[in-house]
Amino acid sequence: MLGNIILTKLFLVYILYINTNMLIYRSDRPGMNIVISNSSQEPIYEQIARQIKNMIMRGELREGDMLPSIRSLAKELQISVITTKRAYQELENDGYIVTVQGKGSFVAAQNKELLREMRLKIVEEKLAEAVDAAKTIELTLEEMQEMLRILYEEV
Amino acid sequence: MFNLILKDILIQKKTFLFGAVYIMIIILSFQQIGSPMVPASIIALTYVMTQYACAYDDKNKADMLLNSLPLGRDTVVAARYLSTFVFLAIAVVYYIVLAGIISVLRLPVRVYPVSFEDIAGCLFSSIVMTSIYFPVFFKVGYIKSRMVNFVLFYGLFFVGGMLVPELVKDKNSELAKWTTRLFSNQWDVHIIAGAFIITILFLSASYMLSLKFYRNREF
Amino acid sequence: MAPILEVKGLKKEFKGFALKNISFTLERGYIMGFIGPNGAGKSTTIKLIMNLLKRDGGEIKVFGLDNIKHEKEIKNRIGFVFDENYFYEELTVAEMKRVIAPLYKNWDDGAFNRYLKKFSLPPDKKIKELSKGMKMKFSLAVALSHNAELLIMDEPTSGLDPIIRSELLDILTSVIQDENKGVFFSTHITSDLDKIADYITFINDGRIIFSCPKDDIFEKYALVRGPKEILNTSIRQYFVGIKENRFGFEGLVKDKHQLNKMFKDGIVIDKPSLDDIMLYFTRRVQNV
Repeated sequence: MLGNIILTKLFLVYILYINTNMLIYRSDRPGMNIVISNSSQEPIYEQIARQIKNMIMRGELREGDMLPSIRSLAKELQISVITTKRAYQELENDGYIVTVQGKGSFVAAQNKELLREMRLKIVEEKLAEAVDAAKTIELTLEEMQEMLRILYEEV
Repeated sequence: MFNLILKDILIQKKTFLFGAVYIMIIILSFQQIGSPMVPASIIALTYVMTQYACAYDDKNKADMLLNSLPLGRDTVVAARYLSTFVFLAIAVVYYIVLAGIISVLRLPVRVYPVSFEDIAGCLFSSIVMTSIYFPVFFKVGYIKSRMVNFVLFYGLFFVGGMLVPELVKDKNSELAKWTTRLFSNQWDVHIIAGAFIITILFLSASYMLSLKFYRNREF
Repeated sequence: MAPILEVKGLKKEFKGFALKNISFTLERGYIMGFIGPNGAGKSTTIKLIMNLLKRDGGEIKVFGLDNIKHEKEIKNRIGFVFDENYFYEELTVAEMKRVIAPLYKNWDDGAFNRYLKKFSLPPDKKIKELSKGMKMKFSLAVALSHNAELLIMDEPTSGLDPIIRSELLDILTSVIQDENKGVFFSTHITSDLDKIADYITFINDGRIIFSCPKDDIFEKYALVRGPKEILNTSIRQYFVGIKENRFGFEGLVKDKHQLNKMFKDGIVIDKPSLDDIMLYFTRRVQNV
């Protein structure tokens, strides 16, 4: 019985640990990944803009980070320069990036509140998942809180 | 421009190889005829080289290339005319060398030295030949110009090769008497000068015509 | 800055074929694909740009200069690659270069040698001994070795395998990293352009059907498949062309946003390829 509880605790710890890691961008992670689909109904420029937005929201791209030039991005992805230009245009219109003539495009200082709210939402979602998982093995609130406390202090 | 002439030479390495053979053949076949072998062989080789260059360019559709390069059409025309003279010079050298070898080796072949009149004669007939041929070539291209070719070759080959030197050297021939009557009281120099001016005019007219034709050509 | 290539109202008449009122513009920094079926007038247009043919009317400006008045200056700054190799077959690679290089003001020998190495072109090989793909690479090496600003290519990839085609596309995208350069590329192998072209100009039967950014094309046009019952006169007018078969129809719709209003179920909407677009515009299988 005790063995079971310990195992499930370890299991839950593991899940929470992995999920919290995703919120934090490790700055030694190399490069950004952009993957496009040619056959999707979503226009390519939107796919790119969306992925970059997500990276910014998730913190993988930070304020001041330089984005690849529209031409090198077009070359790497084998798409038209107009497409990448449009993607960056949209990102700029929505306030995610700033383009400096002659220098390049940079991640803009994000509206901190908005970002925080988005991240709050992610935390909430992940906790909801953990709660669901906990309830299936009838973990009590106190036990969960204890786990959370340990994790919080560890990281 | 000079690259174009260089190009005309580079593309016919084979012709150069056979140049010696051509001249030998003419020397041998003219053994009985004598001194006309000099202008005959020189003109023949010049003719072959010029024709080959024109044919080759046409076959290769070189006009497409040449006119895509930063090269004026005028330059293309000028280069072709100049090439002929270069070929002429080369043919003269070939003959001299070959004749020289034959004499040095004391081969049982009669060869004649190249004289000033010979060169003048060759120059004259080459100019006449190209002046007539090139405008046709520039207007309709190589393939269609072959008929004119044919007439020119046989016509001028013999006329130019034989007539002019005769004209200048042997004053007793009918034609010589006739021309001297024309230029009575004139000396050889004046005949030559007269012919010279006429050929220059002829050449210029031909050049202008070629320019006009080639400028309007479509590929 | 003036567009790198500007064609306005170009006209040319032949017996049995004519170019009518051809107009399009290419700005610096972009790749324009020039597509159309065989015999549509692609090569004719390019020859007119290069002044190999004389135009009957209209205007052609390269780098903002009239292509006839400033012919030599323009050609100094143009790199060209044609479908047929017009280089002298008897000459070697090195000899050909020796003939051509001095003609260009900005010839870059270092660049040429780098390309020879990159393309594995032996300098002492006769041009006639090169394979078709190698001949194209040689043309390309020459075209890229004199600091040309505009690359004009007339069906450079016809007859070449997909690997070489992909190498060429790679090189073109590298060229266009310099936003002062431009590429004008005619082909009937549209799959090459599906990816890298910025603008597409479509010519058919001597007329320009459209000339616009490639992305716009895919935003407007859609391939629709569905049951034949849906087709009635009012629906048909939304289509550029329709192909009917025993089990249904396939058609190209001009404005896919209008579609959503009309149809509900039973139809499939797909992104068309440039080939599809070309096919429907040239076949016009339609009962209107």
